[in-house]
Amino acid sequence: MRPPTVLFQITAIGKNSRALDASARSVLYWLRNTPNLAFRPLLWLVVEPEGLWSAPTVYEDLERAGARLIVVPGEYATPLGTTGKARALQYATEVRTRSGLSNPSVWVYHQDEETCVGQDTLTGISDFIREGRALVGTGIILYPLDWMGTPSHLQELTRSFDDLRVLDSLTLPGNPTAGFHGSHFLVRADVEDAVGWDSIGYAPSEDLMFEIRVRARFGSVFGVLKGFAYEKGAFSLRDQLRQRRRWMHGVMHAVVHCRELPMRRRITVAYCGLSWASALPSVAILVASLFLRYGPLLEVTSLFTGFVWVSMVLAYLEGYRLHSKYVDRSPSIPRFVANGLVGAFIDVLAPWYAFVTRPTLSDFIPKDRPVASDSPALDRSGGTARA
Amino acid sequence: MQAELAPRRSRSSPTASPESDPSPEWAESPNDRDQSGEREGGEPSPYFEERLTIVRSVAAQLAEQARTVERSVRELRSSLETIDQELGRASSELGFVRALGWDDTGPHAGSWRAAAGLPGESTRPETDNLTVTAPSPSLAPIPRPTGSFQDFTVERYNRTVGELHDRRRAVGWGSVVAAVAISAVLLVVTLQAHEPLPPMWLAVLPVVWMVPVPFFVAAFRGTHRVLKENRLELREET
Repeated sequence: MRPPTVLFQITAIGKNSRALDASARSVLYWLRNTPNLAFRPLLWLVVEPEGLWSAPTVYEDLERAGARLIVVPGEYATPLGTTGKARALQYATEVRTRSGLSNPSVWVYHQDEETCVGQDTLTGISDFIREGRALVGTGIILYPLDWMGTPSHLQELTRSFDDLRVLDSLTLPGNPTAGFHGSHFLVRADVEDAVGWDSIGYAPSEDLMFEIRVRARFGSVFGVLKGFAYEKGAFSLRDQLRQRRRWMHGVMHAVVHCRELPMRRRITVAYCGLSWASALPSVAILVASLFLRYGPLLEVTSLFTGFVWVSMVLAYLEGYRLHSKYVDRSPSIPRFVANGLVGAFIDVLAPWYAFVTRPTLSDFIPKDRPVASDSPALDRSGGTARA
Repeated sequence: MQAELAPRRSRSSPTASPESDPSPEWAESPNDRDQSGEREGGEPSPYFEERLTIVRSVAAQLAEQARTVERSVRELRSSLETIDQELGRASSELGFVRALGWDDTGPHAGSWRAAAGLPGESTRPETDNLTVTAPSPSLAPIPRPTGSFQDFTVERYNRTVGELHDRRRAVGWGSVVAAVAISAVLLVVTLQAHEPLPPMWLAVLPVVWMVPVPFFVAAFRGTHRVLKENRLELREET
């Protein structure tokens, strides 16, 4: 029997070279230091030419360390003409097919440029393949890298706890609450290559489209990938807002343009978007009720208000507890509350920002910590997580 | 060794005191000297100091070499430990691979790049005019980079998800109790406010407020289903 191969694929523009370097080195380091992995590894860096030009020595070093560098040619075009990350992902599937790697013994683990892996990630991947119960798996992402306790970082805590909801939804038929990741997911290469990433024009949430297509073609083949992935939150509120705008446009794009989306699923995806968008009016109603005195109408809603509030607070608290062994800065409670409120407000605002503005291909979310605030110890680390 | 030489130098010195330095019978005494300070037996060897200097120098070299040998032995011991450790791991890996029933004797065995039928060289577009050294396909020991990902261990992961699982009931029931308490307080406050009924067109507002409620209910249920089934802990091997 031929041993399975896991291709660790970091797909990015490549301009956040320090973050990408740390991600690639985390793979190399833990491949070296994790016993009994039931696979053979490959490491691919799929980047755009401008990413390579921005830091050629970083990529040279990574190639020497064993990574394979794949630069998406500037003139490359997919059959349907997709752009952005989907284009790079599609190019990688074509390279895999040409290299004879599009078969059931090859698995692809997708990483963003700031997705560091740990020993748990590799062990989780190994277990997932050995168990062989599913064709696609995803797990929980933590955000301890470069953790500063800022509003945008605190907001990411809720995403980690929310991943438990994602894992449940993903493994249910129909994915009722529309959960998936664009990174930290493992997929069998032949499945990915059969579905592909190509679509007409720019797909803001190529990951959601991919999940929809896999489900449409292969059914409920999703499983839980044990082990965390380790990423970093946006450095500024502006970046957080732009990132969320892209997600919202991704949801709208899928609802409107994705032909493979069944009607029932289309409704649930649309509902999830609507649910997110309703946050701002809900806050507005709450504030207005204090002045306009329409309390009697809120008698019914008050039955659910406690549950909604507790769910939101719980996401911060449990998200923080998940991170507590990985971050070395604990904000004070007042700061935690204040930053949490600011971060939450940005998330509340984001869908409406998405309704009035559009993401562009030139949207670039910095993931390399600004050099001025770097310490030497952070140079290649990608993080300040607790030692 | 230099310390060993020090008292000898002292004993050999012509100015050493008789009390502190008992001399052998054949040694000259102060009375052997005439008044002008000349010795009857002639001057001490003119090469004496030179020889002492040579001895000191050689002794210092010996001391340095001893330290080097000590260092080398330490490094050797460390290397032997590494070899021992790696042999143990290799043996364990081999057993693991055999248990999986993999065919590891093929022509590609030993090269992880070739294992998947890959060419050894990098794929680059023709438009790429940068000259980058061809890769060296090796996962041989790489220097441990500074930073944090080295701390992302299975043990830490298992502790994190284990604790999360352990407090599942407390979190679940605590959430329900807190939610009921908050809702009850809000309801009481609303009822006791005795506010006049607002215009009916405002009835749409509670509907907006309640839009995300099913999502939160589904999220709560899903989260606790995953935690209940505890599908997250990993095997631990060192």
